[in-house]
Amino acid sequence: MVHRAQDIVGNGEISNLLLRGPRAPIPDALMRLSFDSLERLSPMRGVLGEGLEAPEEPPLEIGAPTAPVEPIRVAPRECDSPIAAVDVSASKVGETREGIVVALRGAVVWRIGRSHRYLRYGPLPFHIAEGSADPMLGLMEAPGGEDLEQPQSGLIQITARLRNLMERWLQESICSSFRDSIILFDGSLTAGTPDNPAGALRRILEEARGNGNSVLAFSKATRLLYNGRSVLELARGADPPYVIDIDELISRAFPSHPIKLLGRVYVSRLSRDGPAFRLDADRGIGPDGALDAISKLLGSDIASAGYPECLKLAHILSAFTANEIVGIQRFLSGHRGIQLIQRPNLRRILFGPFGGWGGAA
Amino acid sequence: MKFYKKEGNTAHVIAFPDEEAERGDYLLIEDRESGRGLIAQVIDVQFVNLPGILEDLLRDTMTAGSVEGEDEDPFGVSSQVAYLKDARLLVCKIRGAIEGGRLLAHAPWLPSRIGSIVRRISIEELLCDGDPKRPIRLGRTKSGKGVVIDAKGLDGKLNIIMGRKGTGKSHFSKLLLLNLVKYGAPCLVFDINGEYVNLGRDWDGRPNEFGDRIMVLRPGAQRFDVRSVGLRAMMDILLHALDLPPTSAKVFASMWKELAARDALSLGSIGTAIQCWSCHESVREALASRYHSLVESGVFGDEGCMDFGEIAKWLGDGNAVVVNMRNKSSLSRRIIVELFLGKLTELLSAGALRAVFLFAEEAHLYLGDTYWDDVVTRMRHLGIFATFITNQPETIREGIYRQADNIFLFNFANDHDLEFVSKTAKLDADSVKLLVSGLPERHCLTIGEAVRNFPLIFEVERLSADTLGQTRYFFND
Repeated sequence: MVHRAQDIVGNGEISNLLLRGPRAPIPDALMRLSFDSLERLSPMRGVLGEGLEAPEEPPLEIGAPTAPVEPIRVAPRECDSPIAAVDVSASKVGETREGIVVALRGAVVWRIGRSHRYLRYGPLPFHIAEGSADPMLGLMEAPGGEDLEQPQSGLIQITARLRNLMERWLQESICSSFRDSIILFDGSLTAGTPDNPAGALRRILEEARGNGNSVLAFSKATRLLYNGRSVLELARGADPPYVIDIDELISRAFPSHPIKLLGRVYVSRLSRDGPAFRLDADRGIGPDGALDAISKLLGSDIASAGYPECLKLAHILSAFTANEIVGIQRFLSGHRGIQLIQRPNLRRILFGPFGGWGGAA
Repeated sequence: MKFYKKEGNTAHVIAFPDEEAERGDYLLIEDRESGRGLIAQVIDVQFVNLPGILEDLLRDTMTAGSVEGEDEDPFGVSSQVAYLKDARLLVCKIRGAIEGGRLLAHAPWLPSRIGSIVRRISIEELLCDGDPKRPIRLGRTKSGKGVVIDAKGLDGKLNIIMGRKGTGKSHFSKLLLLNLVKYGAPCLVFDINGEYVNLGRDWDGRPNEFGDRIMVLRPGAQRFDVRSVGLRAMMDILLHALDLPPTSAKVFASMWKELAARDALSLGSIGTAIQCWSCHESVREALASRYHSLVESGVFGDEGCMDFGEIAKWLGDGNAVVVNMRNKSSLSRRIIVELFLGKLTELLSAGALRAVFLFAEEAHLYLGDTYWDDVVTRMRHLGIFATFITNQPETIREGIYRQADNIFLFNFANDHDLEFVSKTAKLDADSVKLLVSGLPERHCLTIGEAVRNFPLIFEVERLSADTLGQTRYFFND
C-alpha cells in the first residue's frame, strides 16, 4: 500500500516544501533580528562549552494516585506512516560588555519507509544585550488574550524565547508540510509561560490535526513527582513496551490557568533496555489516537533505549559541538570584524600565579 | 599561520587549509618588533586537535549513509566549521635564526607568540649567498624554484647518496658527476653495473657535450702493463685484495725487484719466476694461487696494454674515467679497485694530480673493511673526494657517516633502514624518519654544507644523457 503522504509528498518535495514553501521555516523577522543584533556587536570574549540552562524549576508534586496505576501494553504495529521530528539547540558563543552572543540551530528529520532525511537550519547567531531585549520580546507571539505573567527579560530567558520561537516555527512547518504522519517534538506539550506561549502551540497542534498528523512529545526528564519520587518510576516492574496514563494526576496538580496541558500525559517505557520517558500526546487526537500513534511509532522508528530514532537524529544534528562554537567565533571574528578577547581571570588578577588555572572556588 | 608553541628544538605552527605547507617547507617565524626570526622546517603536517572534533566526526559517521539532507545556513557558518575541522598543525624543527639580517645557526631567544608573523620562505632566501661561481642545478622544489648549489660545496667533501632501489640515487650521482666534469673536475667512477658508460651520449644515441670528456675503461678488454702498475700498487693488490700473507709478500717483492733489475718484468716472467724461485713450497703455492687470480682477472697483460700515465693525464685535464666492472667477479672487482686506488694515491702523492672526485656505487661489494677509513681520511687528505652511493645504509660504517659533509637521502620505506639512517644522518631522528619516508621517487632530502645545513627536499633535475641505470623490468607496460 502506498501511503497518501508518499503519494502526494515525496522526500525531495518535502525538502522543497520545508525550504521554499509558502511558509519559510525560519521567519524573516528572526533572520533580521540576527543580522541586526550582530551589527551592534562589540569586542567579544569567546566562551566554550558553557550551556544555556535556565535556572532549574522546583519539582512539582502531583500526589499519590488514588487507584493503582495500570500499565497499558502497546504492541508495535508496522505501518508506512511517515515520521518526522524537530529539535532546536542553543549555545552560548561569547560574552560582550552588553550581554551574550548565542547561536541557534534547528533540525528536522523525517523517515519515509526505511530512509531518513534531514533539513538543518542555522546556525543563527544573536547578540542578546540588555538593551536589545524589547525587539526580541516583541517577536514573541502575543499570547492570545491569555493573562500571562510579566515577561522576564533576563538574557537566558530571551535566549530561551528565541529558541522556542525557532522550534515552534519548525514544528509548524512540518505540521503543515506532512500528511497522515507522526510528528515528534522534543519536550512536553505543556505551554502557557512567557517563554512558551500556549497560543502558538495550540495553533500548531490544530494544524497538525487538520493534516491528519498525530503529535507526540518526548521528555527525557521531568520534574513531576508522586510521593517524592519521579513519575518515571511508576510501574517499574511492568514488562515494556507500555505506557501509563497519568493525565488525570497531572491535570489535578496544575492550575488550569495560565498553564495549559495541551497534551495527554503518559509515562512511557518502550523498550526493555531503555529508561522511561514522559510522553505527551496531542489531546485533540484522543486516547485511542494516542495509543494508535504510539503503536505505529513503536513498529517503525523506535531505536535502542526506547527513544525514537528521528528525534535522536534531530538532536544529534542540531546540537553544537565545541568545535562548531569555535567556528562560529571565527565567523564573527572574520566576517563581522569582531575582536575576540581573552576572558579575564579574576583569581589570576587577585592571586597571580597562586590563582590556579580553573575557575573553581 | 600562527606560531603556537615551541618545545626544545620543535616549533608548532597552526595553518588553515588555504595556507599551504608541506613536509620539507621552510617557515620564518618573524618577530617584527624585535627584528629577528626563527627559521623552521616543516617535518610533519597533522590535524589540529580541536575541542569537540571527536563529537563532530562521530556525528558525521553516525549520520553518514543512513541520513541524507540539506543545510539552510544563511550566514555560511558551516563552511567556517568545515574550514576549522581541516586546520593543520605544522610540526617544525628549528634550523636556524635571522637576527639583524644575519643568518645564525642557533637562537637562544623565543619570538613573541602574539606578535610573530609566520610565512613561508623560499629556498633562494636561504641558500642565497651571491651568485654561485660554478652553479650546479640539482633540481627544483615543489614550488618550481630551482635548487642550485656551488660546485665548491662538493670540493674536498665526503658525500653519501642513499635510497632504496629505484628511487633515483644513481641518476643523482650522474647529475653530480656530469656537472663536476663540466667545471673541469677530474672524476673517477667505479661503475659496478655498467650504467655510467653511456653518459657521453644523449638518449637518442648522439654524442653530447660530455662525449669527449668521459673515458670508459673495461678492465679485461683493456689491460694494464705490470710495469706501469708498479710494485707498490701491485703489493696493495696482493695484500689487501688477495690477502697474501706478509712473508709471501716479501718474497714477491724480492722477485719483482730482481725481474725489474734485469728489465725482464712482465706478467709472464712473474709466473715463471714463481715456479723457479727458491722459496718454501707453501710460499710458492700462496704466490702461485694469487698469480692465477691476477691472470684470471684479465686486468693485466704484457702487450697492447694501457699506461696509467694516459689515465693520469686524462684526469688531470679535467675529464672523467668510468671503470666498468659489470660482470666482473667479486675478486676481480677488488683487484681493479685496489689497482686504481693505489695508482691514484701514487699520482696524488707525487703531485701529478691535484684531486680526484671518486664515485663509488655499492662500495661494500669491492672495498675491504679496512679500506673505508683509508679512503675517507688518508686519501681525502691526498685529494680523493669520495661520493658513496648505496641502497643498503648499513653497509657503510657509522664512522663514515659522521665524517660525511653532505648526505643525499632518497626514499626509504623500511623502518629498519630509516632507524639506521636516522642515527647517522647528521639530523634529528624525527626529521629523517618523517621527511624521508614520505619522499616520492626522484625526490631527495639533502643535508649538509652544500645546502648551508638547511635540509632541503627537491625533485632531482632530469638529464638528457643516457643514464641507463634505471631498474630493469621484464614487463614494460
